[in-house]
Amino acid sequence: MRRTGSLTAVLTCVGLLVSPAAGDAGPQRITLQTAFAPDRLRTPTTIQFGFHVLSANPGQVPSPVTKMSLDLPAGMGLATSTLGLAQCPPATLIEQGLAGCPASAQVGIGTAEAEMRVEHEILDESATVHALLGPPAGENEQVLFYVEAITPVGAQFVFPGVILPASGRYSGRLDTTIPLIPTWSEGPNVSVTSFSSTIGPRGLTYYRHLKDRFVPFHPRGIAVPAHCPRGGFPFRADFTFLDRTRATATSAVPCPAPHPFGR
Amino acid sequence: MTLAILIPAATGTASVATPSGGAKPAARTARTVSLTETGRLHSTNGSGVTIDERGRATGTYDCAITVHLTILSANRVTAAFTVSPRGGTISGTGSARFVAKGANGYFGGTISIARGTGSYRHASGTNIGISGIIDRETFNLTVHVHGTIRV
Repeated sequence: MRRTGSLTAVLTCVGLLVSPAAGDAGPQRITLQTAFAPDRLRTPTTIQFGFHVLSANPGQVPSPVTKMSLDLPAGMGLATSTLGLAQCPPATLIEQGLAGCPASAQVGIGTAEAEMRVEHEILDESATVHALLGPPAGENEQVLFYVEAITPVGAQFVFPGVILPASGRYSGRLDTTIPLIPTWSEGPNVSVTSFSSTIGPRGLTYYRHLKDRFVPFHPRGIAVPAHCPRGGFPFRADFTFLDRTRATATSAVPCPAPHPFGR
Repeated sequence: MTLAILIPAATGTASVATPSGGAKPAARTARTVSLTETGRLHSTNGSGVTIDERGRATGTYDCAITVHLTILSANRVTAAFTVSPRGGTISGTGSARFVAKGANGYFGGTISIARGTGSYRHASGTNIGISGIIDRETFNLTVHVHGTIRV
Protein backbone atom coordinates (compact mmCIF):
# COMPACT_ATOMS: atom_id res chain seq x y z
CA MET A 1 0.00 0.00 0.00
CA ARG A 2 1.28 3.38 -0.90
CA ARG A 3 0.37 6.40 1.15
CA THR A 4 1.05 9.68 -0.54
CA GLY A 5 1.87 13.06 0.94
CA SER A 6 0.92 16.47 -0.26
CA LEU A 7 1.98 19.44 -2.36
CA THR A 8 4.27 19.38 -5.28
CA ALA A 9 5.51 22.60 -6.93
CA VAL A 10 4.10 23.02 -10.43
CA LEU A 11 6.85 23.39 -12.95
CA THR A 12 6.83 23.98 -16.65
CA CYS A 13 8.23 20.73 -17.95
CA VAL A 14 10.28 21.44 -21.04
CA GLY A 15 12.87 19.65 -23.07
CA LEU A 16 13.02 16.55 -20.93
CA LEU A 17 15.95 14.34 -21.58
CA VAL A 18 16.96 11.34 -19.56
CA SER A 19 20.50 10.23 -20.06
CA PRO A 20 22.41 7.84 -17.84
CA ALA A 21 26.07 8.72 -17.39
CA ALA A 22 28.11 7.47 -20.32
CA GLY A 23 29.18 3.87 -19.97
CA ASP A 24 26.91 3.20 -16.98
CA ALA A 25 23.26 2.13 -17.41
CA GLY A 26 22.64 2.79 -13.71
CA PRO A 27 19.62 1.55 -11.80
CA GLN A 28 18.24 5.10 -11.44
CA ARG A 29 16.53 7.26 -14.05
CA ILE A 30 16.48 11.04 -13.73
CA THR A 31 14.38 13.68 -15.40
CA LEU A 32 15.16 17.37 -15.09
CA GLN A 33 12.64 20.20 -15.39
CA THR A 34 13.54 23.86 -15.75
CA ALA A 35 11.67 27.07 -16.37
CA PHE A 36 11.92 30.84 -16.09
CA ALA A 37 9.21 32.93 -14.47
CA PRO A 38 8.72 35.32 -16.19
CA ASP A 39 10.10 33.92 -19.40
CA ARG A 40 11.33 37.01 -21.28
CA LEU A 41 14.69 38.12 -22.57
CA ARG A 42 16.56 40.84 -20.66
CA THR A 43 14.09 40.47 -17.79
CA PRO A 44 14.83 39.64 -14.15
CA THR A 45 13.42 36.21 -13.56
CA THR A 46 13.07 33.32 -11.12
CA ILE A 47 14.78 30.11 -12.17
CA GLN A 48 12.68 27.04 -11.39
CA PHE A 49 14.37 23.67 -11.40
CA GLY A 50 13.43 20.22 -10.28
CA PHE A 51 14.22 16.59 -10.79
CA HIS A 52 12.44 13.26 -10.48
CA VAL A 53 14.21 10.02 -9.62
CA LEU A 54 12.89 6.60 -10.56
CA SER A 55 14.36 3.22 -9.94
CA ALA A 56 14.96 1.30 -13.14
CA ASN A 57 13.38 -1.65 -11.37
CA PRO A 58 9.63 -1.10 -11.01
CA GLY A 59 8.43 -1.18 -7.45
CA GLN A 60 11.87 -0.49 -6.05
CA VAL A 61 12.88 2.55 -4.03
CA PRO A 62 15.66 4.38 -5.87
CA SER A 63 19.06 4.70 -4.28
CA PRO A 64 19.37 7.98 -2.33
CA VAL A 65 20.93 10.94 -4.14
CA THR A 66 24.15 11.98 -2.43
CA LYS A 67 25.41 14.67 -4.81
CA MET A 68 23.82 16.92 -7.37
CA SER A 69 25.47 19.51 -9.61
CA LEU A 70 23.30 21.86 -11.62
CA ASP A 71 24.85 23.91 -14.44
CA LEU A 72 23.07 27.18 -15.21
CA PRO A 73 22.91 28.77 -18.68
CA ALA A 74 25.63 31.20 -19.72
CA GLY A 75 24.93 34.89 -19.34
CA MET A 76 22.46 34.61 -16.47
CA GLY A 77 22.69 37.75 -14.34
CA LEU A 78 23.27 36.08 -10.97
CA ALA A 79 25.56 38.80 -9.68
CA THR A 80 23.26 41.66 -10.74
CA SER A 81 20.28 40.30 -8.84
CA THR A 82 19.53 41.48 -5.31
CA LEU A 83 18.86 38.00 -4.02
CA GLY A 84 20.53 37.25 -0.73
CA LEU A 85 20.98 40.72 0.76
CA ALA A 86 21.70 38.99 4.06
CA GLN A 87 23.28 35.70 5.07
CA CYS A 88 22.18 33.00 7.45
CA PRO A 89 24.79 30.95 9.32
CA PRO A 90 24.21 27.19 9.04
CA ALA A 91 24.30 26.76 12.82
CA THR A 92 21.54 29.32 13.25
CA LEU A 93 19.44 27.66 10.58
CA ILE A 94 19.86 24.25 12.19
CA GLU A 95 19.14 25.47 15.73
CA GLN A 96 16.36 27.94 15.07
CA GLY A 97 15.04 27.09 11.63
CA LEU A 98 13.80 29.78 9.29
CA ALA A 99 12.73 31.98 12.18
CA GLY A 100 16.37 32.53 13.08
CA CYS A 101 17.33 33.90 9.67
CA PRO A 102 16.70 37.26 8.03
CA ALA A 103 13.99 37.22 5.40
CA SER A 104 16.44 38.77 2.95
CA ALA A 105 18.64 35.68 3.20
CA GLN A 106 16.04 33.59 1.37
CA VAL A 107 16.75 33.02 -2.31
CA GLY A 108 14.21 30.34 -3.21
CA ILE A 109 11.47 27.96 -2.15
CA GLY A 110 10.32 24.53 -3.19
CA THR A 111 9.24 21.07 -2.19
CA ALA A 112 10.57 17.56 -2.04
CA GLU A 113 9.12 14.09 -1.96
CA ALA A 114 10.80 10.95 -0.80
CA GLU A 115 10.20 7.25 -0.37
CA MET A 116 11.27 4.70 2.17
CA ARG A 117 10.69 0.98 2.26
CA VAL A 118 9.25 -0.37 5.47
CA GLU A 119 8.94 -4.14 5.24
CA HIS A 120 6.61 -4.67 2.29
CA GLU A 121 5.33 -1.12 2.11
CA ILE A 122 6.71 1.95 0.38
CA LEU A 123 5.95 5.06 2.40
CA ASP A 124 5.95 8.53 0.88
CA GLU A 125 7.30 11.58 2.64
CA SER A 126 6.69 15.23 1.73
CA ALA A 127 8.76 18.20 2.71
CA THR A 128 9.09 21.90 2.16
CA VAL A 129 12.35 23.34 0.88
CA HIS A 130 13.79 26.80 1.50
CA ALA A 131 16.99 28.04 -0.13
CA LEU A 132 18.97 30.67 1.79
CA LEU A 133 22.24 32.45 1.22
CA GLY A 134 24.84 31.25 3.68
CA PRO A 135 28.31 32.54 4.45
CA PRO A 136 30.73 32.17 1.54
CA ALA A 137 32.59 28.90 1.18
CA GLY A 138 36.07 30.18 0.44
CA GLU A 139 35.77 32.41 -2.60
CA ASN A 140 32.40 31.00 -3.62
CA GLU A 141 28.83 31.82 -2.72
CA GLN A 142 27.06 29.21 -0.63
CA VAL A 143 23.35 28.37 -0.75
CA LEU A 144 21.84 26.47 2.16
CA PHE A 145 18.85 24.23 1.47
CA TYR A 146 16.64 23.87 4.54
CA VAL A 147 14.33 20.89 4.24
CA GLU A 148 11.50 20.40 6.68
CA ALA A 149 9.58 17.13 6.61
CA ILE A 150 6.56 16.53 8.74
CA THR A 151 4.97 13.16 8.14
CA PRO A 152 5.39 10.26 8.58
CA VAL A 153 9.00 11.09 9.61
CA GLY A 154 9.42 14.51 11.18
CA ALA A 155 12.83 15.93 10.41
CA GLN A 156 14.66 19.09 9.52
CA PHE A 157 18.00 19.11 7.88
CA VAL A 158 20.28 21.46 6.02
CA PHE A 159 22.53 20.73 3.11
CA PRO A 160 24.85 23.17 1.39
CA GLY A 161 25.26 24.09 -2.24
CA VAL A 162 28.26 26.02 -3.49
CA ILE A 163 28.09 28.22 -6.57
CA LEU A 164 31.15 27.49 -8.64
CA PRO A 165 32.29 29.32 -11.77
CA ALA A 166 31.67 27.57 -15.06
CA SER A 167 32.39 28.26 -18.70
CA GLY A 168 31.19 27.66 -22.20
CA ARG A 169 27.46 27.09 -22.39
CA TYR A 170 27.08 27.53 -18.65
CA SER A 171 27.50 30.52 -16.36
CA GLY A 172 27.82 28.74 -13.06
CA ARG A 173 27.41 25.45 -11.27
CA LEU A 174 25.40 24.81 -8.13
CA ASP A 175 27.25 21.95 -6.47
CA THR A 176 25.33 20.28 -3.62
CA THR A 177 26.09 17.45 -1.24
CA ILE A 178 22.93 15.82 0.09
CA PRO A 179 23.17 14.01 3.44
CA LEU A 180 21.71 10.60 4.02
CA ILE A 181 18.43 10.79 5.87
CA PRO A 182 18.00 7.81 8.18
CA THR A 183 14.53 6.88 9.29
CA TRP A 184 15.36 5.07 12.56
CA SER A 185 18.18 3.09 14.06
CA GLU A 186 19.20 0.45 11.52
CA GLY A 187 16.29 1.57 9.36
CA PRO A 188 16.41 2.41 5.67
CA ASN A 189 17.58 5.74 4.36
CA VAL A 190 14.98 8.00 2.85
CA SER A 191 15.30 8.29 -0.93
CA VAL A 192 14.38 11.59 -2.52
CA THR A 193 12.18 10.90 -5.52
CA SER A 194 11.50 14.47 -6.50
CA PHE A 195 12.99 17.80 -5.58
CA SER A 196 12.15 21.26 -6.78
CA SER A 197 13.32 24.69 -5.87
CA THR A 198 13.44 28.17 -7.21
CA ILE A 199 16.31 30.63 -7.33
CA GLY A 200 14.66 33.99 -7.60
CA PRO A 201 12.19 36.46 -6.10
CA ARG A 202 8.93 34.68 -6.85
CA GLY A 203 7.17 34.10 -3.55
CA LEU A 204 9.82 35.99 -1.58
CA THR A 205 9.41 39.22 0.36
CA TYR A 206 12.31 41.15 1.84
CA TYR A 207 12.05 44.00 4.33
CA ARG A 208 13.87 47.30 4.41
CA HIS A 209 14.16 49.26 7.65
CA LEU A 210 13.15 52.85 6.96
CA LYS A 211 12.95 55.21 9.88
CA ASP A 212 10.74 53.41 12.39
CA ARG A 213 9.11 50.78 10.20
CA PHE A 214 9.87 47.84 7.96
CA VAL A 215 8.91 48.27 4.34
CA PRO A 216 8.39 45.10 2.29
CA PHE A 217 9.84 44.77 -1.18
CA HIS A 218 10.66 42.06 -3.70
CA PRO A 219 14.29 41.50 -4.61
CA ARG A 220 15.48 41.83 -8.19
CA GLY A 221 15.64 38.52 -9.99
CA ILE A 222 18.26 36.93 -12.19
CA ALA A 223 18.38 38.60 -15.58
CA VAL A 224 17.68 36.42 -18.59
CA PRO A 225 20.29 37.10 -21.29
CA ALA A 226 19.44 39.34 -24.20
CA HIS A 227 20.00 36.57 -26.71
CA CYS A 228 18.68 33.02 -26.59
CA PRO A 229 21.01 30.32 -27.90
CA ARG A 230 19.78 27.88 -30.48
CA GLY A 231 17.84 25.16 -28.74
CA GLY A 232 16.98 27.29 -25.73
CA PHE A 233 18.75 28.08 -22.46
CA PRO A 234 20.56 24.89 -21.47
CA PHE A 235 20.68 23.30 -18.04
CA ARG A 236 22.57 20.19 -17.07
CA ALA A 237 22.48 18.19 -13.86
CA ASP A 238 24.80 15.42 -12.71
CA PHE A 239 23.75 13.06 -9.94
CA THR A 240 25.60 10.62 -7.73
CA PHE A 241 23.73 7.96 -5.73
CA LEU A 242 24.48 6.02 -2.59
CA ASP A 243 24.98 2.86 -4.68
CA ARG A 244 27.78 4.78 -6.44
CA THR A 245 25.97 4.95 -9.74
CA ARG A 246 25.70 8.24 -11.57
CA ALA A 247 23.26 9.85 -13.94
CA THR A 248 23.07 12.99 -16.01
CA ALA A 249 20.04 14.87 -17.23
CA THR A 250 19.73 17.92 -19.42
CA SER A 251 16.93 20.33 -20.04
CA ALA A 252 16.44 23.60 -21.88
CA VAL A 253 14.11 26.50 -21.36
CA PRO A 254 12.79 27.25 -24.87
CA CYS A 255 13.53 30.63 -26.35
CA PRO A 256 10.66 32.93 -25.47
CA ALA A 257 8.25 33.81 -28.24
CA PRO A 258 8.99 37.18 -29.85
CA HIS A 259 7.01 40.05 -28.40
CA PRO A 260 4.14 40.84 -30.75
CA PHE A 261 5.29 44.45 -30.93
CA GLY A 262 8.94 43.59 -31.44
CA ARG A 263 10.21 44.54 -27.95
CA MET B 1 67.56 81.74 -37.22
CA THR B 2 65.89 82.03 -33.90
CA LEU B 3 65.00 78.75 -32.20
CA ALA B 4 61.74 78.95 -30.31
CA ILE B 5 60.88 76.10 -28.03
CA LEU B 6 57.42 75.99 -26.58
CA ILE B 7 56.73 73.56 -23.77
CA PRO B 8 53.04 73.54 -22.86
CA ALA B 9 52.66 72.51 -19.21
CA ALA B 10 49.91 69.96 -19.84
CA THR B 11 51.49 67.88 -22.56
CA GLY B 12 55.22 68.43 -22.50
CA THR B 13 55.31 68.51 -26.29
CA ALA B 14 57.99 70.71 -27.88
CA SER B 15 57.67 72.27 -31.29
CA VAL B 16 60.22 74.02 -33.45
CA ALA B 17 59.45 76.92 -35.76
CA THR B 18 60.95 76.21 -39.16
CA PRO B 19 62.01 78.78 -41.73
CA SER B 20 58.98 77.89 -43.79
CA GLY B 21 56.77 79.02 -40.90
CA GLY B 22 55.30 75.55 -40.14
CA ALA B 23 55.67 73.93 -36.71
CA LYS B 24 56.30 70.27 -36.31
CA PRO B 25 56.65 68.15 -33.19
CA ALA B 26 60.17 67.48 -32.08
CA ALA B 27 61.33 65.90 -28.86
CA ARG B 28 58.51 65.04 -26.54
CA THR B 29 58.95 64.87 -22.79
CA ALA B 30 56.70 62.31 -21.21
CA ARG B 31 55.60 62.94 -17.69
CA THR B 32 55.08 60.45 -14.92
CA VAL B 33 51.96 61.14 -12.97
CA SER B 34 51.12 59.65 -9.62
CA LEU B 35 47.46 58.93 -10.07
CA THR B 36 44.98 59.04 -7.21
CA GLU B 37 41.34 59.18 -8.15
CA THR B 38 37.99 58.65 -6.54
CA GLY B 39 35.03 58.16 -8.82
CA ARG B 40 31.37 58.27 -7.94
CA LEU B 41 29.14 56.81 -10.62
CA HIS B 42 25.53 55.84 -11.19
CA SER B 43 24.13 53.21 -13.48
CA THR B 44 22.77 54.20 -16.86
CA ASN B 45 21.96 50.66 -17.96
CA GLY B 46 22.20 47.45 -16.03
CA SER B 47 20.94 44.09 -17.15
CA GLY B 48 22.10 40.55 -17.23
CA VAL B 49 25.84 40.49 -16.79
CA THR B 50 26.70 44.07 -17.79
CA ILE B 51 26.32 47.41 -16.03
CA ASP B 52 27.07 50.79 -17.60
CA GLU B 53 28.09 53.53 -15.20
CA ARG B 54 28.67 57.25 -15.55
CA GLY B 55 29.91 59.89 -13.10
CA ARG B 56 32.70 62.17 -11.95
CA ALA B 57 36.20 61.44 -10.84
CA THR B 58 38.12 63.72 -8.48
CA GLY B 59 41.74 63.69 -7.45
CA THR B 60 44.71 64.01 -9.77
CA TYR B 61 42.27 64.79 -12.54
CA ASP B 62 38.76 66.13 -12.07
CA CYS B 63 36.82 64.81 -14.97
CA ALA B 64 33.95 62.75 -16.30
CA ILE B 65 34.26 58.99 -16.19
CA THR B 66 32.34 56.10 -17.76
CA VAL B 67 32.71 52.45 -16.89
CA HIS B 68 31.32 49.34 -18.54
CA LEU B 69 31.29 46.45 -16.06
CA THR B 70 30.94 42.82 -17.08
CA ILE B 71 30.18 40.25 -14.40
CA LEU B 72 32.11 37.18 -15.50
CA SER B 73 31.08 35.04 -12.56
CA ALA B 74 29.84 35.39 -9.01
CA ASN B 75 33.34 36.54 -7.98
CA ARG B 76 35.01 38.13 -10.99
CA VAL B 77 34.32 41.30 -12.97
CA THR B 78 36.00 43.06 -15.86
CA ALA B 79 35.78 46.75 -16.62
CA ALA B 80 36.34 49.02 -19.57
CA PHE B 81 36.68 52.68 -18.63
CA THR B 82 37.14 56.09 -20.21
CA VAL B 83 38.08 59.26 -18.37
CA SER B 84 37.88 62.65 -20.01
CA PRO B 85 40.27 65.17 -18.47
CA ARG B 86 40.72 68.47 -20.23
CA GLY B 87 42.48 68.00 -23.53
CA GLY B 88 41.65 64.41 -24.33
CA THR B 89 40.58 61.01 -23.10
CA ILE B 90 42.23 58.00 -21.54
CA SER B 91 40.75 54.54 -21.92
CA GLY B 92 41.64 51.16 -20.60
CA THR B 93 40.52 47.87 -19.20
CA GLY B 94 40.90 45.87 -16.05
CA SER B 95 39.69 42.98 -13.99
CA ALA B 96 38.89 42.57 -10.33
CA ARG B 97 37.76 40.08 -7.76
CA PHE B 98 34.20 40.65 -6.66
CA VAL B 99 32.53 39.68 -3.41
CA ALA B 100 28.87 40.29 -2.66
CA LYS B 101 28.26 40.85 1.02
CA GLY B 102 24.87 41.98 2.14
CA ALA B 103 23.59 44.94 0.20
CA ASN B 104 27.00 45.77 -1.28
CA GLY B 105 29.50 44.25 -3.63
CA TYR B 106 33.20 44.80 -3.05
CA PHE B 107 35.83 44.60 -5.74
CA GLY B 108 39.58 44.94 -6.03
CA GLY B 109 42.03 44.45 -8.89
CA THR B 110 44.09 46.26 -11.49
CA ILE B 111 43.57 48.24 -14.67
CA SER B 112 45.80 49.15 -17.61
CA ILE B 113 45.67 52.04 -20.02
CA ALA B 114 44.99 50.94 -23.56
CA ARG B 115 44.90 54.24 -25.42
CA GLY B 116 44.55 57.99 -25.16
CA THR B 117 43.43 60.81 -27.37
CA GLY B 118 44.34 64.47 -27.72
CA SER B 119 46.85 65.55 -25.13
CA TYR B 120 46.89 62.01 -23.75
CA ARG B 121 47.50 60.12 -26.95
CA HIS B 122 50.76 58.77 -25.52
CA ALA B 123 49.25 57.82 -22.19
CA SER B 124 50.32 54.48 -20.76
CA GLY B 125 50.22 52.61 -17.50
CA THR B 126 49.80 49.09 -16.18
CA ASN B 127 49.03 47.46 -12.85
CA ILE B 128 47.10 50.47 -11.67
CA GLY B 129 45.22 49.53 -8.54
CA ILE B 130 41.45 49.74 -8.45
CA SER B 131 39.01 49.03 -5.63
CA GLY B 132 35.51 50.00 -4.69
CA ILE B 133 32.00 49.31 -3.60
CA ILE B 134 28.83 48.87 -5.62
CA ASP B 135 25.34 49.10 -4.16
CA ARG B 136 23.60 45.93 -5.31
CA GLU B 137 20.19 47.57 -5.40
CA THR B 138 20.95 50.87 -7.12
CA PHE B 139 24.26 49.95 -8.81
CA ASN B 140 25.71 53.22 -7.46
CA LEU B 141 29.46 52.77 -7.61
CA THR B 142 32.35 54.29 -5.70
CA VAL B 143 35.76 53.46 -7.11
CA HIS B 144 39.29 54.32 -5.99
CA VAL B 145 42.22 54.28 -8.39
CA HIS B 146 45.87 54.57 -7.46
CA GLY B 147 49.02 54.02 -9.45
CA THR B 148 51.49 55.56 -11.81
CA ILE B 149 50.83 56.55 -15.40
CA ARG B 150 52.84 58.23 -18.11
CA VAL B 151 51.29 60.96 -20.21
